[in-house]
Formats: sequence, structure tokens, C-alpha cells
Amino acid sequence: MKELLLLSSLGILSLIAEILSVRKLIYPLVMIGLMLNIGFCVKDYGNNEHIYGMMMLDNVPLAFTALFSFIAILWFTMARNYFTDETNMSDHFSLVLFSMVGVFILTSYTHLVMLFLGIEILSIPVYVLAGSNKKSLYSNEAAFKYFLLGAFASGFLLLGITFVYGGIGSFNIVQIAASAYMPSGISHQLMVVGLLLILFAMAFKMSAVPFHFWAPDVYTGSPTVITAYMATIVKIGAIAGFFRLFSLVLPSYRFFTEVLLLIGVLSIIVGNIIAATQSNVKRLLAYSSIGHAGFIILGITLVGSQTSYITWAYVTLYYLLAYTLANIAAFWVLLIVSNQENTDDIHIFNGLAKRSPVLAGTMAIALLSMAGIPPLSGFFAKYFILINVIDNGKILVAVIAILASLIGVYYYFKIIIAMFSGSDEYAPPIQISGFNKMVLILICLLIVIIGILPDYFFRLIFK
Amino acid sequence: MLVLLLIIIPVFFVLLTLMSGEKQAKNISFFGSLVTLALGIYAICAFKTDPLCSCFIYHTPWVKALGADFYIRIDGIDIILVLLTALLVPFIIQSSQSRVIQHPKSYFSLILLMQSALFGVFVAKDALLFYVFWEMALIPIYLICLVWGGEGRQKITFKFFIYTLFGSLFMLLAIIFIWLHTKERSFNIYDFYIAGSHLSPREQLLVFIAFYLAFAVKIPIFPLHTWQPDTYVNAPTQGTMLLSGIMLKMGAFGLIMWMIPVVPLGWHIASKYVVVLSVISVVYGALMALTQKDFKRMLAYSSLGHVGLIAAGIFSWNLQGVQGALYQMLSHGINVVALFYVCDIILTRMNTDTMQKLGGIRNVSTMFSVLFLIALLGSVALPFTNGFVGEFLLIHGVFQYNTGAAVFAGLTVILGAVYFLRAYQVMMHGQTNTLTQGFGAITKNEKILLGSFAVLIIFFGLFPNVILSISEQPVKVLIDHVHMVTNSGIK
Repeated sequence: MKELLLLSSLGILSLIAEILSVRKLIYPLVMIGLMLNIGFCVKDYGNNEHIYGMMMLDNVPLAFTALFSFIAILWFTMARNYFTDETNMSDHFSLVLFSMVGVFILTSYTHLVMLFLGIEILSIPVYVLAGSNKKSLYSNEAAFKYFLLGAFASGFLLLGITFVYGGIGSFNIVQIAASAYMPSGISHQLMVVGLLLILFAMAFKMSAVPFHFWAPDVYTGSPTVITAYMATIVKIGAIAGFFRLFSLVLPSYRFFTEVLLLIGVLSIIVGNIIAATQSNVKRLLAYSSIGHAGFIILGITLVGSQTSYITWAYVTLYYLLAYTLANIAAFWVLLIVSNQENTDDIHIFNGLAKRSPVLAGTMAIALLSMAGIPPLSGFFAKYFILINVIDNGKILVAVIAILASLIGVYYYFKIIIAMFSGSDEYAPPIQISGFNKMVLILICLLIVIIGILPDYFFRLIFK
Repeated sequence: MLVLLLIIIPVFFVLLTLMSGEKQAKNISFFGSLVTLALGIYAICAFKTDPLCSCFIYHTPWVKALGADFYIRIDGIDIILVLLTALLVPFIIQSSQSRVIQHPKSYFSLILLMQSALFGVFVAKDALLFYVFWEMALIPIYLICLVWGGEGRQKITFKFFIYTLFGSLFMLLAIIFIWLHTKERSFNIYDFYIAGSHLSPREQLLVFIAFYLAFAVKIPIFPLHTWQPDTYVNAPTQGTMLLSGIMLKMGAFGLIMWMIPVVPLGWHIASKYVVVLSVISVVYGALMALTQKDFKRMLAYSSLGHVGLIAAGIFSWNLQGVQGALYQMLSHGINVVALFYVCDIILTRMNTDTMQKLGGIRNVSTMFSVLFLIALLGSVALPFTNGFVGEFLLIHGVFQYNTGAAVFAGLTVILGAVYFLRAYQVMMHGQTNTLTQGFGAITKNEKILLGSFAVLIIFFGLFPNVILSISEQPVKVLIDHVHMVTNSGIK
């Protein structure tokens, strides 16, 4: 409960600060608030707090919350120029904070209405933020596209929730999961159709194939900072919400395992293959994020078969941490580099190693981690998922996933090759502030350390 | 603890190198590699007196959720490769003396990082750890080739990277597969030996193929060698030395430690095919070397032939074959690095390594041509050089496996003599032309390096037992294990 209140009040405070014109206070306030939020998560750890039968804060939501708060701190550090450059900074602050309230609700709901509310609270601010670069046509297009398609997805979600309610007469996710075993009084067809519609809506939010078509355009059109937000925190929210419902539903409704397996494998294949043909870095990262979503879905798919709930929570969290850290780093570098050139094309990375070794090194570590090269954290993230896939006898799926990530290596290395051996005739060296440099190196160290010692991270979450 | 130091010291010096100035980078990294060398030599002396000393083992839990341990240990087989790595890296770093290296800090720290990863590969006794080090070794060498390589390096290094990664991903699959069949879900190598031997022949064959893809790309064995010549020619000299001197031994080492003992039946079924492929490598490499016009490219192909023979010896899996392979790994490492250094000396002075354009260098620098000749004779496998011991044992081993294969494998010695001596004749003898007139005397640094190579070549040629006696016992154990499984498997 504290976390929810904290995040909402931070959002409201930043609106009030605008009225009282004490804008300068907002930024430190938000940072302190987010750190406090992590503190709350650590403190609440272990007691399962029920919130009016609508949400429940057990360990997994708390871990998700701590994760996204931490990533949010990094994101705010990265985005601080975005807020100072704009005229209406407190609006944007509150929009971001409100959407985080949505993420929090998605991690911990136990009631389907909260799921709907969570998704809406998460999405509506992001629709606005996507269009926050008012003068750019692409930004407007992104916002419009995202909004229209997102509205459709919300429609599906509502329809699905209604069907499920029609089937069982309850909104509670535990009861929904148990419904498969109830012999009478339940319309199983309605349940399956309802859950399928909910699944589609959430696959849309996670940008999984075949519901991914919005992602590349929206990612490319939005301001880079907001793209980074969508690729990290929004993704955490969508996946947490998805995990919450389907980790309970999957063991009883086996039908969804097959559907999810299909969605996961398709996302990995399509995401990686199309990413290989992109020359716009933002677009490339958008498609690669589709591939990563596929991996995470593959992970969640196996809950309840051979793998325990807690292992899967860990595997998903680990993957998300590795993925979001690498993404924040990559977008940060992209933000700095593209600021100088005003384009996101891959050629702006040419010769970056000479222009700024720190930026090139960070980008290389982030990309190598995303490509799954050991000993970086991305390797273990993929590895945990692959062993469980093979453990469940799906060797073909594992082979496909491995081959697709080999394609992933191709496009990540396109950037690395450009950075380390591309020509840099016109480009001047890039100066970055000492603080930025320090944080980037810190992220790199985290990526490496989490990769070398995955066990300590595990103990951190599940003592 | 000693074994852990081997991995840590290079990393420590990487940090030192990164913190130092650009001018000091080479000296600091060279000093670091000397410290490691001293440690390596100490290790081999200590190993001779007490092979079971606890200083050779470091074992601590790593990823408990998976049952992976940080388990590193030096035993009689890998100590040879540890020695090789410790021995070659100081030479490799010092060989950059005569060239101006861009960004020396990054360059030398990458070399040291690579050394640390290589040590890790050789001493890891936990499959997951082995895999992690295996991949870790790839990144530095990739960057070295990419940033400091020659013309058209992007495509060539990328091909190299994709090839090796493709192979190792299949190895990862194989490792996971065996891990799932171990009793208590462990990655321990000895559990792997037990679990792998209990798989059905079909499964063993599949695992064998998956491992083979990883190791055969690295070695490389025909037809997976196509990345090799271009990469060798294109890489900076130190990169070529690392690749040919140490890195390809990772593959051969993997065959001995991680592949054949893990899936003995797989080896039993596939051995005839893989021996044939290795022998094709030998003949193909030698024939291609014969037709080359450039010295560096010729060396690349000759290396292909030599390691083909090593692979053939390992696949015949008898005492002579495997012992010969281990010895030849050491010898080939020294010889090929010496020859690439010779090539580098010629290249820095003449700006070309096309053999026809050179000639009569002996008249200009007798010292150089004598030292060159010694390095060359080691590769030709003249008696009393290190190459002779290894190749003799290898051909002996292959002979026991199959006479026909041994006949073709023996071609490497004869053809090797032909192309090496021809190259020597063309470049060193004959009329001194206007180009080679300017060769000049070799510097003191070059003299010391080539001289040490010559000493090593002759030392290991005269006293092979220093090394062979260490590895004999563990090799026997591995061989017996495999033959026991195949014998019971056939029944």
C-alpha cells in the first residue's frame, strides 16, 4: 500500500510543484521517492499484504517493484535533460510517475478490474508521452498509432474480462485459475475465449508477434528518452501483469501453453530476422525487444510443467533485469550520440570508439549482453530459459531460439563493427560529463557482475 | 590458490595497464606476462614434485540454482597448455616492439584479458565455467582483429566470429543435454564422464556432433576452416599469434578433455569419419601451402595442415596419438609463433611478404637467416627439434589406428619440408635485389626473441620427457575410460 501511495503522491506533488513554481525541487524529490520505494519493498519483504481484496503484495510483486524503481532511477538520471529542455516539465514528470503507478498495479493485482485499471493507467500517460515532441510529425504519428491500437487492445481486454466473468462469476485470479478443476457451474468455453482475449491484449502490450506491428513505428517516432521508457519500464509492467495472471492460469489451462509457445517462438524468429534488416538503431532495438519479449514469454510458458513458480519468477526477473539494464545503457548512448547528429541511422556510430571510448565500451557491453555472450548477464538470462525449455523436452524450440539469437549476434555486431572500425572522417570527439561517464561505467559493471555472480542476485531476492 | 592466481594476475595487470599511460602500456603488460610466466614455470616444477597438491585446485559454489561450481584444477593434461599460454604471451607482447600500435592501452589489456580467459578454458573442470571462459576468450581476439586488423577486416572478422559462435552454441546445447542426464544436476567434468557414457549410442553420437562443430571450427578442421586463412592474414601479428599459437589449441584440448571421454560411443561410431576429415585437412593444408605466393598465407595453410595432424592423432585415441597431440600442441605453438614473428620482421622492413619479390636476405643479415632456419626446421620436424617428437608420435598413433590414414598424414612431413624449404630458399638465398638490399641487420630485441625461440625449439626437441612424463598417466586414465566404455558398449 505504501508503495502505491508514494508513487501517486509523487505524481500529484509534481503537479502541485508546477502551481507553486518550485520546479527545481521535483527532480530530487522524485529520486528520493524512488529510492524510498525500493526501501519500502525491502522492508515489506516477506509479509503478504492484502489490499482490499484487489491487490496482494507478496514477494514477487515486491521484487518487480524494486526492479522497476531501480530502473526508473537510472532512467530519470538519463532523462534529466529531457525534463529541463521542455517547457512543461512537471506535466511530464507526473505523467511518467502516474504510468509507474500503473506498473505497480500490474505487478500486484489479484482482481481483473485492477488488471484493466493498471493497463490503462500505464498506457494513457505513455500515449501522451509518445507524442511529446509536438513539432515532429513522426512523434505525432507514434502517439496516434499507439493510442488507436492500444484502444483496440483495451477493448479486447475488457471483452475478455467480461467473458471470464460470465464463465465463472468472479474477478479473482486465484478462482479463475482454480476454475479448470471445478466440474459444474462453469462455462469452460467462455473461460478459454475470455482468457485468450486477455492474452491477446497483453501480448499487444508486450509487443509480441503477431501483435507487434505498432512497436517499430512507435519506438522510432517517440523521443528517444520515451522510447527507452517504453522499452524498459512499460515492458516490465506488461510482463509483470502477464506473469501475474498466467503463472496461475497456465498450470490448469494447458491449452495456453501451446499458444504461448507459438507466440514466443514467433516473436523470437520475427523479431530477430526483421531486426537484422534495419539500419535505424531505434527501429533495430524495437525489433530486438520483440525478440526478447519472445524469450521471456517462452520462460513464462513453462510455469507449472517441470518448473516451480519461484524459479520462474526468478528467471523472468533476471531476464528483465539483464534486458532493461542493457537497454538503458544502449538508449543512453544512442541519446548522446544521436543528439549530435539529429538522426538515428546506424552510421552515426561510425568510429565511436575513437570519438568516445567510454560510450563505445558501454554500447559494446550492452549489445554483447543482449546478444547473450558470456560472462555478461544476458547470457545467463537466456541460459536459464533455454535449460528449462530443454528440460521440458522442447529441444526443437531451444534450437530455433539459439539459431535466432545467432541472427541477433549479426545485427548487434553491425553496430559494434561500426563503432570499432567504421570511418570517422567528419565526426568530432564527443564530450560527456563526468557524472554521465560514472553512471554508464556503473551500469556496465552491474551487467558484468550480475552475469558473473547470478547466484548472489538470486539470494538477494529469495533468501 | 595457485591456479586461481593464474587467472587473476592477468586481470590485475589489465587494470594496471588501463590505468597507466599509453607509453608504459606495453612494458607493464609485458611485466605482467612475465609474472604469469614465472608462476607457470613454478607450477610445472611444483607439479612434478607433488601433482596432488591442493594449490592446484580451487573449488567453490558458483550458481547454486544450477549446480554449477567455480571448479578449476590443474592436472597432467592441461598443465601443458597452461605452460604454453604462459610461455607464449610474453613473446607475443614483446614482438610488437618494432611496430607502432594505435591505442596501446586497449591493445595490450585485450591480450592479457585473452590470456586470463585462455587459462580459464584450460583449467576449468566445470562445464558451464568452461563454456563461459570459452566465449570470454573470443571477445578480446575478435576486437583485436576488428580494430587493429588490415583491409576488409569487418567482413573477415565477422565471418570468424559467426563461425565460432555457431559452433559453440551447439556445444552449449550439448552441455545442457548432458547436464540434464547427470545424477544430481551438476556440471562437474567427472559427472559428465559418467553421465555421457550412459547415454544411448544415438544420443552420444548427437552430442559428439554438437561438440565436434564447436571444436572443429576452432581448430579448424576441413571443411569448417574457411574462416582461417583470411583471418590469420588480416589480423595484426599479435592477433595471428594468439589465434594460431594458443587459441586453436582450445579446440584440440576440448577434444581430449571434453568430447571423447564424455561420449565414448559417439567417438567409436564417428571416429573413422572424423579421422578422414582430419587427414583431408592435413593434405589440403599442405597442398594449399604449396601454391601460395605470400609467406603469411602460406603459414596459415601450413598451420591448417599441422593441426589437422594433431586432430587425427587425437581421434585415433591411443597413448601415442594423444601424447603426441599434446606435445605437438606445445611445439606447434612455439614454432608457429616464431614463424609469424619472422614474417612480421620481413613485413615491417619490406612491406611485402610476396616470396618472389624477396631474395638474398641471407647476404644482408646472416643472423636472421640462421635463426629463421631453426624455427623452420622445427616446423619441418627435423630430428632434435621439438616438431619431430610430436609428429613422430602423432604419425605413430595414427598408424596404429589405420595404416592408410597414416600414409596420408605422413605427407604433411614431406610436403611441409617441400614448401618450407622452398620458401626459405626463395627468400633467403639467391641474388639480393634492390628491395632486400635495405633489409639491414636485425635489432637486439628481435635477436633475443628469435634466439629464445631457437633455444626452446632445440630444448624441447632434446628433452621431450620433461613434458611427456607429466601427461602420460592422466592420458592413460582417459584412454582406458573410453576403451572400457566402448568395449562394454559393443557387447
